Amino acid sequence: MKTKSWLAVLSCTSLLVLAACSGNSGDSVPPGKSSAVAPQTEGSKGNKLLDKPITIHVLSTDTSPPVNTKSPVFDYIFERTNVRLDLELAATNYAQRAQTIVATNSLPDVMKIPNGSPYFAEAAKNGLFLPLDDYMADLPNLSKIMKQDKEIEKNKVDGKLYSFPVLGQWKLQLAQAPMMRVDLLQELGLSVPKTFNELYQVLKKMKEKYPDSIPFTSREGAKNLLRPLAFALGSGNRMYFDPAIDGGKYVYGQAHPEFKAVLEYVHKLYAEKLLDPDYAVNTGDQMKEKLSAGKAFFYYDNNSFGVNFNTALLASNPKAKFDLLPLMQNDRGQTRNWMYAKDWLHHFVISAKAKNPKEIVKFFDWLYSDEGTLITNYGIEGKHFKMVGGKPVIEESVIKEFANTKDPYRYMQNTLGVGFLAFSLNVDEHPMAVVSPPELSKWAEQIVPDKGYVYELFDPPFTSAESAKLKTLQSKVDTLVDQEMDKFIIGTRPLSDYDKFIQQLKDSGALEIEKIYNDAYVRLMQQSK
Amino acid sequence: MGKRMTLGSFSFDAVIYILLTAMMFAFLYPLYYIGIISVSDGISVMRGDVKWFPVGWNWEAYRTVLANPLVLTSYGNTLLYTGLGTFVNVVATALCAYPLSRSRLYGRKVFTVLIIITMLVHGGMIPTYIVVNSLGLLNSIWAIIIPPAINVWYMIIMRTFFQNIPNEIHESAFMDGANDLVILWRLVLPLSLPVIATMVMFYAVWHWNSFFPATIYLHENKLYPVQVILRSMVIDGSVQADSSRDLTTIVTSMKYAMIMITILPIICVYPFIQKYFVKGAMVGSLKG
Repeated sequence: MKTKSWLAVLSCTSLLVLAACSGNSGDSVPPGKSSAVAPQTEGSKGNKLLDKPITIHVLSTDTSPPVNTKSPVFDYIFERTNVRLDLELAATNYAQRAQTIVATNSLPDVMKIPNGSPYFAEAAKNGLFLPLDDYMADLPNLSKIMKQDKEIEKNKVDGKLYSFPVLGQWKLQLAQAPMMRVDLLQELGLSVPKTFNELYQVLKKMKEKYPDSIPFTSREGAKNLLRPLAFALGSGNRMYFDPAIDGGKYVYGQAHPEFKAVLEYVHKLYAEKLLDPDYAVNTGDQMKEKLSAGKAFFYYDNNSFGVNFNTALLASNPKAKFDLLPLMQNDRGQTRNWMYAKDWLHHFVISAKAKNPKEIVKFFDWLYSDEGTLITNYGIEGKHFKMVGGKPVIEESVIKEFANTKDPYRYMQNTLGVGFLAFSLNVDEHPMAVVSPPELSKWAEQIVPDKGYVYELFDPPFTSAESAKLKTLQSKVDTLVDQEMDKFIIGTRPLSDYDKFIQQLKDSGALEIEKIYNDAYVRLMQQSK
Repeated sequence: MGKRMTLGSFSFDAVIYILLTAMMFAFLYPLYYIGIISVSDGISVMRGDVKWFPVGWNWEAYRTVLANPLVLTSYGNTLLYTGLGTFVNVVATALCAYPLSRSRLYGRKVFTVLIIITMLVHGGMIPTYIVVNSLGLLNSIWAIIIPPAINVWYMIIMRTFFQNIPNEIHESAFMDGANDLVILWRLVLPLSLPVIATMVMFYAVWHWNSFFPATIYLHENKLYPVQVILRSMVIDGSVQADSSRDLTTIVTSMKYAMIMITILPIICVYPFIQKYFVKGAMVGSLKG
């Protein structure tokens, strides 16, 4: 009896294996909706981008409210380029969907792959995507941008470009930056702090005046607190690119003595109850609650939150106001701060099996042209925007139409089918600035390199061997850092112990991580020459 | 209650009542909280003013959510998937369970083992996707309904229940000239209403809550079930530390309004079907 049932199990598993194998080896996945040549109704006109009309099936992400894929803007794109976009937008769980599609090699003509997807490089090497280097002649607009924007190089795999990057042509720049209740500065007769030392004094005065308050609050623990603060104080949190060391190199912040000063400062704030005693466990909502209810006066995080706090504070205290402070000098004499990366660098890849590769490449390059950028960010000229002095201005009627919705920016962009949330590869955020509170544009003017702001950078591309090694090393080192940061800040581990901690990090491989990063970075620099 | 309560039993009861009330509160308050947030004014929510009663009562969040045409279509889709899906599930499960419950089926043990193996060893997402794709089910309602047509575990519960129907009933039906289909339809199913009701419940709840297959297999948003829309608003729209797009995150009250809209039907129906759930937990427990 027993042998019988075992036989059954065996035969069955072998059947399963067979089935699985045949499923994988058969590369003949039905093409689905591939680029069929659309019926030629209008005939080919000379001024269009392509001579013959084609349809391109694009898989990308959706947001809420859903993007209107029937928007007249897409008809207009067809009119200008002869390309009919067949947009398929996934509302949620896109990462897994994209991974499944790549793993089963059932790609549509074009699909979006989020930046940082681990399978991207592997799939590129396996020949799933069209190598764009073979079509450089058809990429005048992108090539031009790539000459200036070196970050795009980081999207390359083994020195070859396989994807169209999502770029920030103009951004309403935000940053994790010092934001303070400036009305309190006036009330206490204090001047705006120019150094971190003065900031400490100011926070101390605030605490003296309002003993029940929490002068400085944050969210999501030490990692998110140190990300902006450590860099501003002359070091950096975990792996970061330090422009001040040897003309720019990757460094593991915690593994160097400069980080001690950061912890000394933060520990001082914590010990004197100037930093939120709950900083380690605060959620985003808790932080926002404290700041918008007037319980906390300073934060070093996304400056755009300030707009909401100001609205919330207005009801109880008309004078209350959060404002962006000018960057403060640290003890090493530096004035510097991160701002959010310029580009998103999400990938748009063309399937190696797509039918009209040359035409698709031409169309996607057009999206980076002046005309393409305008249409995909503003809509149709004369209907959605007009040119005033060489600059696009959104029509009053369009702004009015969406002014009363709960979220004018999203509704405007998604109904028109334009911009970052809908479909644009060269994103211009001026429309966002127009419908957003004026403070944001004012602050964005201060968040510029001249004032000490530095773009956060993406990791350089690694080889598969490097990625594997990084994974093991980083899990060890990052865990150690996660465990110990709070101890140093709260003071359960004395700072005199820090040199020992550095040694611990080095023993776990912090310097090896640095080496892998810098090797990859040097390689990238050589390739891009 | 003729007997007078002793102090001991009275205090025992009191403790139990207090504990149960506390538990009830712990279960109901989150639900209530979602409700009051969804009708409160966004700024009060951010300030943390909303604790017990709505502040700045308004229906704006519901109006905005319902203005999204996808919410209503997706609602219809969920009803369709739940209704049709559950029907297919129950029919397929019964058709599979019935033969396996008959001892005269040739190779019954082998079939049972083969089926049980699929419960233990799953093909995984990629092979399943390839099968669904090759069958041309992608982007159609059938991709949602056919792959999960039989849940092996529920099928075994049903089979066990069928086995408990005395064999004599089958024999006498055969004598009267009935074939297996007639026996299943006219005898076995009417005798198995409790287990059928339980299966309907289990499958229906599964369909109602399911979102994952839809996100993988469906392309057009007009086919999405409501859970996909909910997920895209609540999870994908939430604030992330690394995001530079915080400005455009979805307002909390809108998320909560969407949650209310999604769970309301279940909340309304639950008190009436809850007793079947309790029964269902016992159905199919081992009886030999």
